Amino acid sequence: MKIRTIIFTSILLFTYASIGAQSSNNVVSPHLTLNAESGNRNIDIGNCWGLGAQSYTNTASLVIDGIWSVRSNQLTSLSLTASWVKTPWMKVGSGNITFKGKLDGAAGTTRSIVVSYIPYDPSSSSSSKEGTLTTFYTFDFPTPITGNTTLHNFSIPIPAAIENSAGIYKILFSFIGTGGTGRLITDEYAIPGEYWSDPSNGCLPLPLNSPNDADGDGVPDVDDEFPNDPYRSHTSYYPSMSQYGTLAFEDNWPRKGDYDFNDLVVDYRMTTVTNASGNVVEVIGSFILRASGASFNNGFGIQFDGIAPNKISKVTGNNPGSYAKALNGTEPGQTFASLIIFDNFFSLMSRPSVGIGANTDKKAPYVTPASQQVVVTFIDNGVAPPGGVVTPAQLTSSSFNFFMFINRERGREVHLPDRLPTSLATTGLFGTNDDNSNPATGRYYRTSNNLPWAINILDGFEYTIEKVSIDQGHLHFVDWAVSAGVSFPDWYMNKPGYRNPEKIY
Amino acid sequence: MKATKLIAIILFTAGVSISCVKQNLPDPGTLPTEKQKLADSKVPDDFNWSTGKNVELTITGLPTIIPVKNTLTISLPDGNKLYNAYHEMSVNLKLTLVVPATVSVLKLKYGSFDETLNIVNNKAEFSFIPVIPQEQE
Repeated sequence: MKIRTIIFTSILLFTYASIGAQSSNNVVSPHLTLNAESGNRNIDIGNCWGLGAQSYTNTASLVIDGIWSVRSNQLTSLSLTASWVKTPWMKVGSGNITFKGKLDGAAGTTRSIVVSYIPYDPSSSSSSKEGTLTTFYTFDFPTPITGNTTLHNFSIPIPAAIENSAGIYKILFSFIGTGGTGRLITDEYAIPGEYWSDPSNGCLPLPLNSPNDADGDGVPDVDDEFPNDPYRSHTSYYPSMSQYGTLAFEDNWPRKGDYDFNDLVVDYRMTTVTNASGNVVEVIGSFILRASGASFNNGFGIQFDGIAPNKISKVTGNNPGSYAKALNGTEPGQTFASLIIFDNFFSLMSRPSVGIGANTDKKAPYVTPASQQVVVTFIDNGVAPPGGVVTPAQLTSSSFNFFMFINRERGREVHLPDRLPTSLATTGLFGTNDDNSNPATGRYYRTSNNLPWAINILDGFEYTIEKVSIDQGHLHFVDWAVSAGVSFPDWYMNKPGYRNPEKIY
Repeated sequence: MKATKLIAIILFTAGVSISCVKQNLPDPGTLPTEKQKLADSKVPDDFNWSTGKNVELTITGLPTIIPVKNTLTISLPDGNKLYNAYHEMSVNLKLTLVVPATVSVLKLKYGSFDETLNIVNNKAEFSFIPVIPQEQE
């Protein structure tokens, strides 16, 4: 019986959820139900049911239907708000309120059930916005209470005052009594009407009218960052909304370099746009080319770890130079989607005549950093790519795998330590010279002492001048590294004793 | 015999005196040390050379009576947004976020929910199912 009820209710709720408010000419009107079958009253409380001094019991001798029923505390108060079950806010329909109830047989003098309705009162000073309750039904259990376990099937007409009303109400079931320790067991609540509470908004009522949604994407304008664009709704950021991170590379791999970490310095911020369904629409990479203290013409790219190339529709704004690209703008021959942001730093930034690079020598003219914005489109104007959609859980900030490739040798990639090389990396270089990579164990781009060829500073970074090791400018860099990041996690900040300013560009 | 005893006493006294002389050696704790250079450093195997850390965020959904959607925002303690999406309240979500290593809490907003989530062992958790203790009887 109960299983059938659950399925029936589910169908009703599913129907309601799918098509919205029911009109009065429907064959079956929706009901709000409570049967305790979750076994976890917190789930029902989360859905805005009020359960005052009620627990869920699966004691066989007490259960009315199914596996679980609602059990009150010991009823020793005549207050209507001492022991109660209260519905969420609802639009009350027509017909009868039904539920089942019985005493547990323990001692008692009197036991009663009182049913009331509570109107929504937006002017109420209480956070629940409950107005004054009106009692419309009382049932006194026959005496003697002690030993009485007779099951009662209650069926109570909805008062005309609230039947099919445009107002919003709660129904309150109060359990009262005097003397003894007897409790009340209840189950199978069914109240004609529509659920009208918002669990995400303090269980206040849903708005009576549908909120504005100019683009019709299902996201109300008030929540929509793109209220006039049906294909976009929200944005996420890495490293954060108002912050750029900095990637700093050494370009002598697989040999050690001078550790000035300025052979390529790029600031980045990744903005991920999602739609109303929560799928990734596009990733906008914003890059600032700050410095390259190198004679090499270094390039820069990104791999989206775990994302197949056919999950991308198109790529715009990058400078792959003469390197091949597939129809969708990604690199061909890759296991995971990869693209070249720029093939040569010095095709976007001029190389001054003084010094060997750009913006690493204080005596050389400053070159204004170039900015580049690359848009990687996953869902193009609502059309998903051949590989299907990508969710934010699949494409997280840890999926962004940046890399430099040295002097336009595409296979000579440098990634952050232990980040996966692309399929186009020259694997024969691993383990040569000072590189101590071991692809079999997932170890990449580390020396035998675990020194890297790239570092990532989420809060931004002031790099050292040419040929000056980073630890000579940032005096706690080594403390940070040898402690695996425990000591001086803020080594890059400009705090007293943290820097030698003469060594910083 | 007496002379031998005397010599022994003199030698013992001298020895004690010598051993009590304060040695003006530098305190090891104040020895001027050469700061370790990066090129000579030995760094732990698992160090990621990033000022960020991966935080696995787990959000447990509430099985809702009707579909409930709202904007879910995860921010740094200063309010700087990291994750922002239209999220169905009933859906479980697991995300890996990269946050500054110095950050120990994340902020979560969802409708009227305004929570601070502690990061413990690189994990943060939140459940839309409330934890309401049973009333005392």
